[in-house]
Amino acid sequence: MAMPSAREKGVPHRAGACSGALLLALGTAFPVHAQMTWRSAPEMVVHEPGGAGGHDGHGRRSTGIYLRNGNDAVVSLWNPSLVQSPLAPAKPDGQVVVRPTGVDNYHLLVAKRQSPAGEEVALRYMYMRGKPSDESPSRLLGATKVTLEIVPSPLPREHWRYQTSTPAVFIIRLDGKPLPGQPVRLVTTNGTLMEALTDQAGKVRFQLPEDFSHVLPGRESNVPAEFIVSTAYGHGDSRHLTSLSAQYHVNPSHWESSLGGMFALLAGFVGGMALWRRLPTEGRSP
Amino acid sequence: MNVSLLRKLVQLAAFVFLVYGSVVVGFYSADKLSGAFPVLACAYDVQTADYCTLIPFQHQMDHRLGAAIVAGTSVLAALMPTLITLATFLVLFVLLNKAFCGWVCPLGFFQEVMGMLGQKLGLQRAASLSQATVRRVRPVKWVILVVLVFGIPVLAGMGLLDHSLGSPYCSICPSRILTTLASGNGSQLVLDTSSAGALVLSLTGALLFGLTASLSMKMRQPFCRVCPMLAMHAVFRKLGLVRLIKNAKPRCEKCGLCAEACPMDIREIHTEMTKKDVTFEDCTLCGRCVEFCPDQDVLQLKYAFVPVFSADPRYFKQRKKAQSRWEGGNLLAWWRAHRERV
Repeated sequence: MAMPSAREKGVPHRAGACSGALLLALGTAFPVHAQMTWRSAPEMVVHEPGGAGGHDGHGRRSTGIYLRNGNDAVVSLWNPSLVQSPLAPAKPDGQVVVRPTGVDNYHLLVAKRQSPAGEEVALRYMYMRGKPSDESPSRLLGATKVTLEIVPSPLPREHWRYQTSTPAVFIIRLDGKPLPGQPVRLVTTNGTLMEALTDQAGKVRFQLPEDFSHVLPGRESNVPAEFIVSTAYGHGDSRHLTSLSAQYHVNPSHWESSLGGMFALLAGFVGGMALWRRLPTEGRSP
Repeated sequence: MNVSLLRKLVQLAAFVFLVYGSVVVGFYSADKLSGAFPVLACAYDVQTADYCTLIPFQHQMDHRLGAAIVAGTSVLAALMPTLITLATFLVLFVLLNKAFCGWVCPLGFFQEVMGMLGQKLGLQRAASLSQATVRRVRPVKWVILVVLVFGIPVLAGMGLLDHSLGSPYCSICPSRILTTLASGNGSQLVLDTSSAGALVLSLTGALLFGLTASLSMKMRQPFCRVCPMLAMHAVFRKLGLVRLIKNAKPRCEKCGLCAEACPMDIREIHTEMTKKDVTFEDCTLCGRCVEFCPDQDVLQLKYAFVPVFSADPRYFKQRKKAQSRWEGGNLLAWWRAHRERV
């Protein structure tokens, strides 16, 4: 993986303070940074594996998700078996209704907007419950869905999710092939902006920022925030701008103590040693 | 090579595969072998090849059954995923029966390794626990299975208990800490201060892991005796293809080496004189009793009625010698001999 510069290393700064100089200038008619992005509705959080708790049916009900700045975008849903289904366009307030497909595992929401200036794409992986699909998310991730693609490496899974102070890694692909040296930007809904370049394998790594202003003890007590990864690529007349959004959570280290855990383990070990004397020592022991 | 050594090699291979096997099978839950494995492999270890059946059971009690009871919807429909998980568990379980405990479980292997470490450090191995102690301890695994794996998660799902108590057994399981630490992840060895319940569970988990580690150095398989997976196995042990069979002879009454060799202190292997199938509820089918039985074919491990390992006087003698050689060398003895020489 390429070693980024100080700013590229993911030293977070507030959104708006950056000139966006890393991204390519693609002409005045085409946006330089992602404008069309998926966002979970504030009142109806998209449920992801290991996501914030609550019993909402775990992806079995219709899910409301919002497409920001998605006018005229064509929306579709890829299921784990790579079957693509068209969805109704976003409502005026941006809401897109996603009905359950009946199979479990990750699905991909794709919003695509074509203009003479280029192609703009917004991606969002959603976990849905249902009958076992017998498909690994690796199949959906590995398939080429759009020209310029941001691929999570890996997606969250049970007992592993995006959280602050942990790395989030993505692969940038152009026509299914890794894109080295590509500038990538990550912004969070908490106001952090980070930029980095992909390495030779097309991978880019961001340390998710510790940018929650109010943290309460307990996983269930903190509403997740969202990050948006975006990248733009231009070659000749071909111009592409892609975003990928996902939730990230407060790191549990705020209310969990590793030192306390080690002391407890040590106490248990010493307690066990204290019990050694009480164990029987007589008798044969083959 | 004796059976104990072969078993250690199988355990080592199983440990490596179960703890780091995602590089082979894949990272995602859908990639795992079954999602209902009959040993304490852990989903908190993101590199695992599979995870134990107790995890989905707790989630299903919490998210499905508890919620269905509160909503007044069909309990049978809510139990369907549990039945599918149980069926998956049984398909695997039938193949090896309780030998999953004695031959495959990462936590069982860890306890045996700690025992070997204790022996090599010169700690005198404790003798068999008294019958009274064994009898007092035996019900604990059933209580843990009923209360922590099924009871409390249902109550949490019904909203009668805090949602952080949705998977209480996982919160105290020593294998969760063992397998995550083994894969370089310290995130599970913590005290969770977010609520009183979470604090009690995380404290219990860390204490229990420390206790298991140190007790294993002096006594055999301390955690296995209270493991809820052992209780799960006990329920279905009549379905398994592997069995421990006894062809009792009058000499058995005076011997008792089998019970002394048993790491779970099952005296009934010695005292049972009528039943053929002596795969008792605490048996892990490790085969140690067969190794240390001095009479031809009195004890046998059978796979689908076919003997795969039988007691043999010649094997017994060789095995005793090998055991004496193994127990002869330890750090304390070496240090004492060194001091005497000096």
